[in-house]
Amino acid sequence: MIYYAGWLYLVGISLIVSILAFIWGARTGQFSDQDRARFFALGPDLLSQPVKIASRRKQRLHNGALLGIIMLCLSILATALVLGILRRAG
Amino acid sequence: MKVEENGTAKLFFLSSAFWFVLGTLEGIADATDMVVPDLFGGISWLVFSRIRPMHTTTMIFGFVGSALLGASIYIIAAVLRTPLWSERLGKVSLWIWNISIAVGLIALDLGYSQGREYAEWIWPADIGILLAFALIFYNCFQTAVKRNEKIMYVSSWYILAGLVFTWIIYFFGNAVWNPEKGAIYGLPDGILAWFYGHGIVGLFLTPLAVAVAYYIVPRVARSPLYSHKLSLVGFWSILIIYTHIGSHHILQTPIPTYLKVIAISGSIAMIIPVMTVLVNLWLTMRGRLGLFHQDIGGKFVMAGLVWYIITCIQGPIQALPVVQRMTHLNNWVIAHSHLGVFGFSGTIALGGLYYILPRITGRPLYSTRLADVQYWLLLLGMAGFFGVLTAGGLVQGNSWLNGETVYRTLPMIHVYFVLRASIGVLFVGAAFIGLYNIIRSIVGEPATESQEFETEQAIGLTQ
Repeated sequence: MIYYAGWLYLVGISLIVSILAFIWGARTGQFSDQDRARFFALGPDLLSQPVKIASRRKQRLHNGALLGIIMLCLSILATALVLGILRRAG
Repeated sequence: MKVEENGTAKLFFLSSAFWFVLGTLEGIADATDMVVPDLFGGISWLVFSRIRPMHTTTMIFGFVGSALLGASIYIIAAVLRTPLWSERLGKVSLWIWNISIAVGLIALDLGYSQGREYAEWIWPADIGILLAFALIFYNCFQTAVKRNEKIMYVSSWYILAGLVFTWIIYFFGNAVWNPEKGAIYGLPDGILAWFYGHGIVGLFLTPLAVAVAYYIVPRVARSPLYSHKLSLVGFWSILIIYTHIGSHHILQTPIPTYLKVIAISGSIAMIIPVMTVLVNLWLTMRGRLGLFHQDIGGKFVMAGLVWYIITCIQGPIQALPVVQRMTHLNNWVIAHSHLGVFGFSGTIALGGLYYILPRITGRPLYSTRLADVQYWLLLLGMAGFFGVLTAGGLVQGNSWLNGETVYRTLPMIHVYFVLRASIGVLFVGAAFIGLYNIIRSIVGEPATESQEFETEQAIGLTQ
């Protein structure tokens, strides 16, 4: 255990920093009025700017590409999982 | 030194575009080296072992890091309704940042390396990077202290925490108290190296990329964030979980079992913060996807979030020992790291850049069409890259388990290396297009329709 003490110190430091920040946040009211906080990314100028929406064709193409990528990647991951389990069973 | 509003963010974006070109050139040199190992004829400054760490560090710190830092500096001021505390300090930190990256890369090319993954840079470069992080944090912190908005939006939490944690993991991970080696000893050094290696992605790139997404998604959707409370749950859970899961990179080594258990269970638990981000942003975007398809910045961020889903499904699965037997120490891991750094963080960083840059310069991008071309090159390239490297990795993994020797395995994966190098050409092209577009956006007037067409013709995108 002592051999790895350095690593444990690091985890300890990071946890302490996180907890201190959390306590500061709670004491200064950072977690209150959360409904108002939802709007902070929207600046005052934003809603006066014109809205542009992509054509249906463009939307379909982009959605299709992203969906295809997700399916491709998930099938690859599933293959690895199945292969791993089969190799273990074998 | 010229001081102008948002000048720091603008120069970070320009730096990012430059490093992106260099990083992809280094990548294509490496990929070519894997296909034709004798091509460079043994020129010392082009050997794989020097170019490879140059490629990874250029991409992490130079390209993605610079763009995310630029976006973060802009965003923290915007959401706190306060100008950046000091543009002058911002520019000083920018130059220290860029010079340190250049020093680290030149030293690597001359053969001076500390030999630990993503921590190869020599001590002076490490000190420069730490100083730059400290100055950027101080600038952002002072901006937060002087803020006009009492409650801090979730993006500012992520930015400040990301900078603090990156400083800590960079300091310890590079063992800067040991300038000669940049390392400690034995197996604890392996643990430390992966505390750093995993943390530099998860506690530097991830928080800043998530901060950018939390800013840009509501703006492009023109809708408030679905739940600020949920976003804070995600923030605090990533802070608690992420720091101690890096040991899942070394499950096959004789590290203590309790460390492996912590690393694996923490990796699975990462589903909590990831899902809070994705669900929250998805519910903010719901019914408004047409706006994202139209806005080039929003489009990049949306694609980055898709890569985030995949990276974060892949991460916990491959932390399982039963899967890792098949996937570790081969090209599968390279696919995952490209997905995390380039697919997720890099794409969101570009989204931030393209969304914010016109708001800094006060005029539209030089060419949204060129940015769109860059987007499709990167999206399709990344999908192909992931597929090819993952497939090649599974072939390699099976071969290791079958007890095959390296010289029998290499011919099996040669075709994947050829495909990898071919796809790399798309990335190089995308990087050059990005650099051109960003320089013209900063220094010139926006292109007219006919100029856009002429530019596309000149670079061979149209017949």
